[in-house]
Amino acid sequence: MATYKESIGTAVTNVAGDPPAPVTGQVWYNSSTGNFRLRKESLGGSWATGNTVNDTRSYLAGAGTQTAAVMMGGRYGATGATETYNGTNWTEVNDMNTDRFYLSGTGTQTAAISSGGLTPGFSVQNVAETWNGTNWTEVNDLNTARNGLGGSGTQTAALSFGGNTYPSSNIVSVTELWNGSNWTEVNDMNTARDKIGSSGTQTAALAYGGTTGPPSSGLTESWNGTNWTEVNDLSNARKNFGSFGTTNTIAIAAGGELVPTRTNLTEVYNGTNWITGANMNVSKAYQAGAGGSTAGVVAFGAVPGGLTNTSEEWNSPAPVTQTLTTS
Amino acid sequence: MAKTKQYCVAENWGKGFIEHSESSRIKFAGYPGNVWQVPAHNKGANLWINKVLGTVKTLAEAQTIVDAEVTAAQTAWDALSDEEKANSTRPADIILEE
Repeated sequence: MATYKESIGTAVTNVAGDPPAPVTGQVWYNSSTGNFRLRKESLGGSWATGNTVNDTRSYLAGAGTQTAAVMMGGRYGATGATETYNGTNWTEVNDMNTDRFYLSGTGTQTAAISSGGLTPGFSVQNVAETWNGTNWTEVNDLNTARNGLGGSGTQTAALSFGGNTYPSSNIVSVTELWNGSNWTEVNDMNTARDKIGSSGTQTAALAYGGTTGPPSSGLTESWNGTNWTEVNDLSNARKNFGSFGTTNTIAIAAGGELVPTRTNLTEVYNGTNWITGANMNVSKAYQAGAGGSTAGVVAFGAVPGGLTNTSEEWNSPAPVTQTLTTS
Repeated sequence: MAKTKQYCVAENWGKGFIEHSESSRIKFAGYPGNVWQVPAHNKGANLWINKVLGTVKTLAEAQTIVDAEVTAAQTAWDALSDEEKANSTRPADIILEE
């Protein structure tokens, strides 16, 4: 597990006042006031409508940020299709080589990796492809073909976890690590799940929600680079929702299925608990998400009346500085 | 009992349709058929309906629109193969609130 110094880049420092540009998670001693201080995320937030996507579909994957996202694959449409988002408009770009839905995607708009999924004919895939901002290239396969899996990390240091090996009752807890060349099996999740939310990095990931079998789960597990540890559950068990976040200490779960309904409920993970966030403006499931800790975008998917071409943007307030107390 | 919610039909044009400054003050809920639910007797909600050129609907009118959309989605789902049904959930009925 990463130490405080490894995560923040410095030990806890003694500062006369507050540092000029503290990073999120940084702790320091303010010698002027005699208090320890912490820079932390603000967990409020709101959703605004974004522009519509070009090729309506669902069961797809996303990567990147709110202003530089890429979303790929999907079902009931051009299933290898890829669209990028610049914070204002969606643009169709080159397709993946293998049409897939229920796949995983992670990385950035110019350096992403997709893995697993189902073909339109319900053939489960171990295919992985990397995206360089222009084209998709097939790379070495996952060891275990699966769909409905989660993913975190970058194009050269990724993690894939969970899913099912099809049919959908064959739910697995498999975790694989991608080093830029090959997938290697590492320690499994504690509970096999598919259709999960995922976020974080290769060494600090979060897997949340999904299903262990019908109907839905709120289970959340945190990955420290070696092992998965169970942490507090989502308040609303759900599957097939939008998710994003850059670490295993802050993540967003947006919408999804609270069987049998599709929901607009949002929850924000603060490193310990899931906090209720502002509702999305529209209930939807089977969408993709991309973003960081304070801004993201959720797009595509299905509303209760069918497929939707809508997108919504999440914004939360800037991080705040807080004085640490013993009470 | 006085109604607490009102409904309108308005097409979501994307960016700017609902802004962060609006959703942080007004509780929105979008439904099939471009039906939007916002608080009743609320100045901000009324201004938003004007902004999006929304057509105000009664609860019954809004429910009829939503029902038609959901019924169509359910019919489409019922026609799927068993394999496809296994990977999705039948759209549920929606009951709008007064």
